[in-house]
Order: sequence, then C-alpha cells, then structure tokens
Amino acid sequence: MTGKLRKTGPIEKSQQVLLFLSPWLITFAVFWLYPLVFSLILSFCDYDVFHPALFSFAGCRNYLRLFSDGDFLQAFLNTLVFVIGTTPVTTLLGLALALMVNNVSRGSQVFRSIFFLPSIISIVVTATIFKSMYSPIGALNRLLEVFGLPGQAWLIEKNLALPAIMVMNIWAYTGYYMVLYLAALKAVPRQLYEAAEVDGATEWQQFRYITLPQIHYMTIFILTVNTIRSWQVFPEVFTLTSGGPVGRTNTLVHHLYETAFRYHEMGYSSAISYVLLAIIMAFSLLQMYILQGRRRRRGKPA
Amino acid sequence: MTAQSFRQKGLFAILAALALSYLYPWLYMLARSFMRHEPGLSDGKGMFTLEFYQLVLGNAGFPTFLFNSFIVLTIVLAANVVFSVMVGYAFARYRFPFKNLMFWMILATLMVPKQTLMIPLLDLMVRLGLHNTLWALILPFCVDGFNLFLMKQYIQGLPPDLEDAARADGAGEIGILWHVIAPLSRPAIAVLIINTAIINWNSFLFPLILTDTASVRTLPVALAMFSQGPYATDWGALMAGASVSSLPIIAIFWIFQKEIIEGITSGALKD
Repeated sequence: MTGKLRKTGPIEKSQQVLLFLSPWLITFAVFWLYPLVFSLILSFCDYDVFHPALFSFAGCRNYLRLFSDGDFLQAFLNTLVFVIGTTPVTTLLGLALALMVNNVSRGSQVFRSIFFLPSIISIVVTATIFKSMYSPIGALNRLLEVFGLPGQAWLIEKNLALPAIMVMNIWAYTGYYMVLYLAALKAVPRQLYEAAEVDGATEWQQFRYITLPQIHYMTIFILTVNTIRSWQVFPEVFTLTSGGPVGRTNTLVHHLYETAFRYHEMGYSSAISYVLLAIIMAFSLLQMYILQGRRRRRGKPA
Repeated sequence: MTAQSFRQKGLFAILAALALSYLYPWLYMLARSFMRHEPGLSDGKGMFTLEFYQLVLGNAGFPTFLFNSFIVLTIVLAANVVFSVMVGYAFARYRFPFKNLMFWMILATLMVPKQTLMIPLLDLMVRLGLHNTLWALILPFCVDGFNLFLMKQYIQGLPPDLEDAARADGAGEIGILWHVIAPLSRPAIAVLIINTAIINWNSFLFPLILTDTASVRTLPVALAMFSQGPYATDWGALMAGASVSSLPIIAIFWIFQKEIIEGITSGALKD
C-alpha cells in the first residue's frame, strides 16, 4: 500500500475496471464464497452429493456428534500429536541446516539443493518410497539388521505407525524451512557481526543477540505456516496407512475424507471441515496480528 | 587458522552425512525400480530388469497420468498469469468502489482451508456435469488469491511513467496492460509460475475427490491409487511409478534450482 494511487487518469472507465476484475469476481463468487456458505449450511444438514434427494435439516446434531464421536476425537488427538511432534522439529532442524549450509565453505549450493529437493516433489512420491523402506523386508529393517537390532513392522505396529509418518514428514519438509531461513540469514546486515567481533562477542553471543532477533519474524512466519500445513496432513496418511492400524494414524483431514467419501455423511464432514477452518483461522489471525505489530513498530519514527 | 579449517572439515562431514540420508531414498527408489527379486529373498539382492518400467509406462497407464497433469498445469498456469496481471493491475492502479473490502476478501481466501470448500465444489461439479473431467481440476484454480496479491504488490512498485507515456501516445488500457505492464512484471510472473506450478503439479485432495476413473487422473492421485491396488506390495513396480512421477521434476529442478529457490523464497517473503 506504499505505491502511489493514480489521482488522474482512467478512473471513470468503470467498464474497464469491471473487465479487469471479472476473472476474480467470478471465481471468488462461484468457487469460494458459494462453497463456503453452502458448506456452512450443509454442516447443519444431512446430505450426500451423489444422492441429493436425501436432503434433510439436522439442526446442531452434526456439531454435537463431534463430542461423542470417538473416531473424530482420536483423529483430533493424532493430529495434535503430529503437529506438536513435527512443527518444532522441522523449524529447528531447518534453522540448524541453514546455519550449517550458510557457514560451510565448500559445496554450500549442492547441500542446499539436496536438502531442498524433497519439498518440491509430491508427498505421494515420498510416501511411496518410505512405504517400501518401512516394509518388513525394507531398507530400514535391513539397516537395523546390520547393527544386530530386531526389525519392526513400522506401519503396522500400533505405537510406531504415527511416529513413522512423522519422521517421513520431517525428512520431506525440513529443506523448505531451511531455504526460507537461508534467505533470512542473508538479509542480516554484516556490520552487526563486525561490530560484535570488535567488541569481543563470542560466536554464541553473536547468534543469540544478533542472528536470532534479526530472523525473529521469519521464525514466526515459519512456525505459523508450518503449523497450518501440519494440521492439514493427509496425502501421506492416505498413501501409507489409510488411517490404520485401528485409527492410530487417522488425522482430521483423513477422517473428514472418510466420513464424506466412505460413509457418505457429507453434512457431518462439513461440520468437521468447519472445526478445521476454526483452527486454521486462529493461527492465520495470530500470524497477522504479530506481523501487523511489526509493521506498526516499523512505521514509528525512531 | 588450523582450528578454523578443522571446524570447516567437521561441518562438511556433518553436512555430507546428512546429505547422504537425503540422497539415499532417491537412490533406493532407482535401484529398486530396476531390480527383480525372487520371492523370499532379502531386499538387497536382485537381477536387473526393465519389466517394472514396462508395466508402469504400459498397462498401468502412467503416460496418461503424466499427460493429464501436464494439460491441467499448462491451462492453470496460463490462466493464472493472464488473470493475475489483469486483476493485479486493476488493484494497483485504479480507484473503484469497495476496493478495500475486495482486497480484504482476497486475503480472507488465503486463510480458509480448502477442505472446507471441498464438498460444495464436488456438488457443483456434479451438477455442472464436469465431475470426473479435467475441467473440474482446472476451473476452480484459474485465479489464486496469493498470485493476485503478489502481482498487485509488484505492479504497485512499478513507476507509472511508462504507462503515462503510452497513454499519451494513445494506447488503450488493454494495450498498456499487454505491452507495458506485462513485460515489466516478468520477475513477479516468474515467481508466480514457479509457485503455482509446484502447488498444482503436487495437488492431491481435489484431484482425488473430483475424479473417479483412471483416464482423468493426475500423477499424484494415480500413484497413490497404484500403491493401494494389486501392486500394493510390489515394490519394484511402486518404485518405478515413483521414479516416473519424480524424475522429470528432479531434472527440471536441477536445471533451474537457482530460479526455483529464489522464487519460493520471494513468494514466502510476501509480508
């Protein structure tokens, strides 16, 4: 909003403006606003897209059902464990990798590319590879065998399946946050470190009192986008376990998918989707609030 | 000085070890896709074979999936470039009623998870008769809030002198958009293309629910289905499917890695 707004010129050409805006106005109305409202209505109804005649009003039943639906509660808890178990790890590892790649004198670019690569490849590809490596005769068990350790049924064992998916997820996404941190590190003014060295600051002090505060807002950005992405975990669950064993890897979005497309309870699944919306909106607004605060402080004269 | 070089060596060793753990799954995928294993034999030993690629590129239909993904991506990219420049220009340079409200609406679209829109969109596509066609995977994704935001911010930062000069020469607004704004916006368009391409190519949930039959499946959905079908534990076949799905992207990444990484980063640094 810093650019100059035209004071003279083609303001009256309202047809022109309408023409330019029309692609957005149409897609916004048809593919966003209408689905959003319809989804809210559906969450108070019983409905199945493929049998639209069986449409009936359900009141708050769908939302009340959430509290007694053991599968939903389990999926919610699994997702919470997934978010808490992966988000800090990918963020911290991303920072650690960025610091190392930034400081290594040889091969920095190659390392960066190798770590980054998985984050632009479809997570389904990654999941397919890990499904094979996690299999009872797969690479992971063979590695354990070398060390004389017993192999595991990684995706079948009740207590191992979710952690196995989490490890894969960490492998797949850390490089993306590393690349974001690298950009933030490059933007820290060199003079700050030079001045600190003159003052005899140790490396840890430089990191603690210069680097960390300077990349603080990147950390907030990464934490929120990372958290939002993790709440929506789905393709890896779909590919690796379909939510099993006994629902131990069922996640919110996977449960949403199952209620809609396996049990055809699309009203109920709309209610679940609004729970997801509430969670994601909360994190988005939190991020906006913090980053807006930064803009306000920046705007003040020093 | 020696302490410094010792440290560098240690750092390099740690990174090299980590890099190996990052390269291993790709090498595993390649090796496994070229090896036939006798049942009961351990995972390590096998004979060289091309049968898995013959299966994947033949009966399993991966060329179709690749083609579908490519068609969807091409149209979505073209639409996003054209529409984002148009809408971004309108927001950057014109005054019109409800402008602020509309801008907030664009930001709002970025905060709503797509899963919330999923069932009404499916419903709409069924009613329009577009369910199970590639159009269902194209139409809803031709305009994207993030891309509009990106183009608006970029065009706003361009000096208006060139537009004014063109206008003085009698150019129409569409002419200005095409001959002045679009060429000047090339760096932002590159960022837009990189981000949109990665998201669209890897898109999973919507292609999964909006299609039913193999003939209209895109790569990620097809691979997920393949890994659950009769080949669910045929690792050679699955790894051939994974490598057919990922090798073109790995090649493109290796050629354009600098541009892609820059594009991803500047896309994220939007605030």
